[in-house]
Amino acid sequence: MSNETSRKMRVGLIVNPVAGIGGRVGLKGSDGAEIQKKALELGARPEAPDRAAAALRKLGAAAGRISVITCQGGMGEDECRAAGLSPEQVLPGRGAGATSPEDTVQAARAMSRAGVDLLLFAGGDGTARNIYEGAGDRVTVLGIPAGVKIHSGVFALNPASAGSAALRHLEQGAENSREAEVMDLDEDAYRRGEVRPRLYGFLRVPCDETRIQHVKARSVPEEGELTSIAAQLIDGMEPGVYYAVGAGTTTRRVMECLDLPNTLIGVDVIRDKKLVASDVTERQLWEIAQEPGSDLRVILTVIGGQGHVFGRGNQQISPRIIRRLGMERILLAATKRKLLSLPGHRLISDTGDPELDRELAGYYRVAVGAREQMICRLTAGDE
Amino acid sequence: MEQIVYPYIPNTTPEVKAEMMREVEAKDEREIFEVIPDHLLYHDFKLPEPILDECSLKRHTAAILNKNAGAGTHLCFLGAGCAPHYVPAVVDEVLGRGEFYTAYTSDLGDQGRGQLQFEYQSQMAELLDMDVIAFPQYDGGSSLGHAFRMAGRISGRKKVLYPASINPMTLNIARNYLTQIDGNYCDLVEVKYSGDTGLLDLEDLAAKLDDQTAAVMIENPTFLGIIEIQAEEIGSMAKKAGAEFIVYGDPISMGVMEAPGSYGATIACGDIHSIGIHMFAGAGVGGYVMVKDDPKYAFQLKDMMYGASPTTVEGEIGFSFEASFDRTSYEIREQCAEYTGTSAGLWTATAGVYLAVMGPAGMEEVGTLIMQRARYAAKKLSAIKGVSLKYSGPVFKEFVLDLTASGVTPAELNKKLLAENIIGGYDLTGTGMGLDGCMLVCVTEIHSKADIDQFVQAVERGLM
Amino acid sequence: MAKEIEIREFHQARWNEPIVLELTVPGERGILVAKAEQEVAEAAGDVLGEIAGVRRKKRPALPQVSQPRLVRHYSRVTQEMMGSDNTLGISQGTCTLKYNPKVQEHMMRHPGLMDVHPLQDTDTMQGILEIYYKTEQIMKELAGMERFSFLPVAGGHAIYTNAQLVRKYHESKGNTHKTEIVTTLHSHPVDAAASSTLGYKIITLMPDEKTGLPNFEEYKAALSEKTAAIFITNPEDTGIFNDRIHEFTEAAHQVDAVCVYDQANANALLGVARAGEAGFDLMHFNLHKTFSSPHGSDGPGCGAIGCTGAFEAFLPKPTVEFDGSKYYLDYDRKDSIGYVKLFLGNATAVTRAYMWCMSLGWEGMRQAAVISVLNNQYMTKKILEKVPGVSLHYGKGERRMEQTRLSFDKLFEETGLGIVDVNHRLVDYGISELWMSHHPFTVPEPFTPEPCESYNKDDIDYYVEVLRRIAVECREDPETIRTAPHKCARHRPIDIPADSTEESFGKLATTWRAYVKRFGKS
Repeated sequence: MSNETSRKMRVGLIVNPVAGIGGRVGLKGSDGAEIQKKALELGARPEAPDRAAAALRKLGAAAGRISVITCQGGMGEDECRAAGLSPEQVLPGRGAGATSPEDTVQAARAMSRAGVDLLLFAGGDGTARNIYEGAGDRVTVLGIPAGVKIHSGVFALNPASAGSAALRHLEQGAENSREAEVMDLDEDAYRRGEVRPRLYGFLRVPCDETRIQHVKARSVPEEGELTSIAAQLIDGMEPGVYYAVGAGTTTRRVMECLDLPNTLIGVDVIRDKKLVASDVTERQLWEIAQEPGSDLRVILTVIGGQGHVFGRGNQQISPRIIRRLGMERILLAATKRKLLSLPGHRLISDTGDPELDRELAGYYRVAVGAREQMICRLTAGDE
Repeated sequence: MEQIVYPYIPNTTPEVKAEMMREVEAKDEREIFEVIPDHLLYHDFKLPEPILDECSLKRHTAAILNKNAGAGTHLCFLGAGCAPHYVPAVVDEVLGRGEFYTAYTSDLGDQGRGQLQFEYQSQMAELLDMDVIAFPQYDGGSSLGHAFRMAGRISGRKKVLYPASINPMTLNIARNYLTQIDGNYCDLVEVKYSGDTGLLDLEDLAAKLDDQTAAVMIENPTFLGIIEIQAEEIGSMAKKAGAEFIVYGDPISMGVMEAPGSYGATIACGDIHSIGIHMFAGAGVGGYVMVKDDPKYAFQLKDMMYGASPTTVEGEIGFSFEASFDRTSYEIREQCAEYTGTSAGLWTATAGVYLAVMGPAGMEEVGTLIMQRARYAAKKLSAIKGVSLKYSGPVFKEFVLDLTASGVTPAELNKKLLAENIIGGYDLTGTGMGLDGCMLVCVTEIHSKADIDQFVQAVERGLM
Repeated sequence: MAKEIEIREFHQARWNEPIVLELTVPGERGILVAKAEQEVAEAAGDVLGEIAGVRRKKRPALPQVSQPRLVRHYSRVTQEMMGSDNTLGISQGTCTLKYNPKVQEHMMRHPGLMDVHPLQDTDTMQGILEIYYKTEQIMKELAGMERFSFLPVAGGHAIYTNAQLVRKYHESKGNTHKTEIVTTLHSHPVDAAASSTLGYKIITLMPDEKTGLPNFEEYKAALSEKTAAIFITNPEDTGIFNDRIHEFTEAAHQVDAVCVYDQANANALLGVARAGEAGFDLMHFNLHKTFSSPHGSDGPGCGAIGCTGAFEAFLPKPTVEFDGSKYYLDYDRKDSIGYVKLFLGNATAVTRAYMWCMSLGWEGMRQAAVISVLNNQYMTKKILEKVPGVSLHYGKGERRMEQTRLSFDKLFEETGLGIVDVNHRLVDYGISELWMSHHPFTVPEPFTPEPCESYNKDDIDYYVEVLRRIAVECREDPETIRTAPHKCARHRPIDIPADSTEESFGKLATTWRAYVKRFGKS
């Protein structure tokens, strides 16, 4: 708000023109030149351009107060014009059928260097991965859902709400953001019929659902909440006990509060608040669990928008380890916002062992603050 | 039965009520409450018959209140945390403004309220020489409890030192606020005071002050009325030990007494009762906690804050009570949570009016006047046979009279005074302070020489 | 509905009054103070000389303003407010901004209340104690409880005091393992915060997506031997009544947990249903909401706590007692939790509540509940019918109690403008901002109006029409909304920091001296 008279807010726009192209013709994804070619042959029509334009129309309300940077042709420029916006800067780009993931990576890198206030992109999980590769967490991004696979937490619900959320973020001075997961399937496994998304990293997205009344209409950052959660977990740590700290930003804060190096998308093991091993494999963990007299506990958070605590990004916590430890040795942590956003407010277990998933079903406590826990139902993924 | 249309409940008008019932498709009142199961309903309320007309209600209530005595009917020399002070008419005018006392939580709609609170906050900053203040606490006791907790968090230590002369009522509330299920938030340790002067015993303080001490707390003036002239030295001792220096002060003294912030207080707290609030049988109290312009302190304040900033229009100033809102219990809290909520906004706003009416000269004059009259009363009273002044330290508005030599207890004396339409001082017997047979007398700006003389004569008669 | 509702042309007073400190004309006075009589001054001697060590060296920089100017200042500033005396207090759900009867305010100036010192001999304050005692009898009957204390002066204070009662109760039974409190996300956050101030761990239940109420199975999973108490609001802040509340209290009692009822939302149940029948051990009423005591621009109020006989011994000191001929204060209570408030609490709120109850009786109080619920059901229906972009998330088709949590989600999806924007505009129509929801939000773009019994049908129709008008403006004239407010006393402050970081501290000005330092004005 304080900036609104001083300078225009800058929005970057990247459209992956072939995103979603595989979906309508029954292909499970659009990654890879082969698939795209096959899709076009099957008569697929790109959907990303329309969806991007739908979101951009929402920005029309603020046309005078924002400036848009985008890529040539079908990578954003066309969509801008379709929505009645004229971009102030156009980077080189290619049209549908001619683009590669590397184009998205390059464009994202260029925009992060240009210092945009928000990077809007249209695509799916694959596109999100490319954006992550190019821009990392240096810029706040927001995904317009246009792909076949939407497992990442970086997408708005639909194009219109992407536009509205982007508008609000820009109008409020683009100050608040939080981290959200970039997830994607192993595409080969997916086409074999196995749904197993993996965690690839985290992007910063606008944070606007817990706005305070009246004051600058901006939200309180997640920072305090994460630190509080970490405080509860650290307070409860017992001497001599191993703690395996799983993937995610909530669990990362535990390591940060202990001043320890952290593997964001892997599992680290600590004991007596000191690092024992970084980015361990399942086998290493299994060995620790089997050490005579050892006591191992695992700290996990929810990965992905569906509510997975097992099976997304914590593959090291295997069925045999879960069985050995039991749920009483597995500590769960998440922000209230995350839990409330889960469908049915439910956690999901997808360990790869359906029988175990069914055994684990029940009510568990999740640390949500320094002295606060919530009760959550854990169910098997297929329920 | 005749249906009553209640003046406070307009939709009890039968026609309108019937129309609305139709609108919400409820055939009767039970249906409006259909979500409540039968077994939770209750029908057998045994309540007094109402007094429906306003005239009778007013007479009924007045008849009950007429049974009370007070500073309106008697000469009152009772203090101990609440005292008869003069409330300027302008203050009462503002207090009576309906838009003000019926307002609550509108932020933009109540910019005037924001301004009143901000003005209170700003004037307290000048009076106390502190910089940051949040919404008030319930009373001086809860402000002290909050100050102790803050000191514990800021210093990372647990021991707090307080003077043995402290107001036991204030301490009790703070103590309750420190009580937790797993031990106390802070450990309270008492420091002796001199039985001669009433001032803090600095040797005892030095003996108890160590690197585990979170805070040294003093009252100034003390509960027993003495002005703690060693305050600055106590502050430096605390500072040397790395402890916070908490000063519990009486705002009406600060036109003549140095501002706590000017003699080393890192946390100032107390009650605003004395600055423009009627006694209201004890309802007229409110707490304050103030700190210096330092985020390490400011962000430990537990309550909401009125902040000011420029607005979207050049040259305009606006207010909001959600400044640094994420500290409060309305938001996710850090480990050392303290709750917040409705407190005493009516009193802080009017205390601000009081300070503006008084101004710098008024505050100095009223402080001087109170000291003169208190000193005069102390002299006269202690000249009575069997009565002595307990402490030699300088007094502000209260002082301790030792009646033991008279053979009359304070309670007996007070009964006799009451028969002469005088409300005597606070009986220190049984307070656990070792002051049985002593009386704490309070003299303020409302007491003329004639009032004091009348009181002195009544005491003389009472002790005969 | 043939009647066209005409929206009045409104503009709030806008005086742009300077901060009172800026009004200073050196030497001006607001009041004169008496001088000590000559004899007094002589006998007293050099009083300031004696306190050299702590004598004030420099006068405080308070305002120096004449009385007429001050009166104009305060008249103007108080015109820039929206109390229930001058606007529709419908927006502030959970706060119950009902009418505060004037006859009560007149009584506040009675010397038998205003000038009473709380430590007077109880013989000289029998009237005050009588009001406390009689009000307690009324509250006991309304709540189905056996004792009351009026010492807490706010809802949060009452919850804190009840948490202390829970602590003391378990301590008396040697229950050292009782360390957890169970509450719900739709209960007021102070239920969690006040309990955690005592060191309790909090287990919070999420609302069920369909009903908005806590899920009973989840609740049972939350209860354990460690549960010290449940703290629960009913109806919750969503306006939804938990019809299984009795099962909740029963299940808690089975694990020896205390059931604490936060009855801040009691306006719907007055004279209708009681805490006692629902199985609660402790509860509180807010006399400044339900019982008509004014909010006073944020207190002091009174959080009257009620308890069953099992908790009476633990109540804070003192209690008000009656021996058949005289009222007295009982400080001699060895099992008490101690002191939570100086003196007697808020006697003004208790007196007002007494007068309010006496003016209505049971039937009148029951009508207050009936009408507040009827008003809300009517208003909810009209909002959903007439205001575009609003939806109801939980318990669709279920009757709400005295307030309703609604959502401007569709308006936001459509226009990019949501509840915060609506609030900025609402004040332009002379109506205070809508209460949204406590954090974290469980529905998007939430708002929670409460049209208690003080408002008539026309008031509610008018209110709904204003909301409709604003929703239409969001579609048709978003710029007006975006730049609102236009017609209230001040425009939107733009540099109030919402968080507590080193960086935001540079914008935090709670006092004029800090403001001058931060924003450069002098």
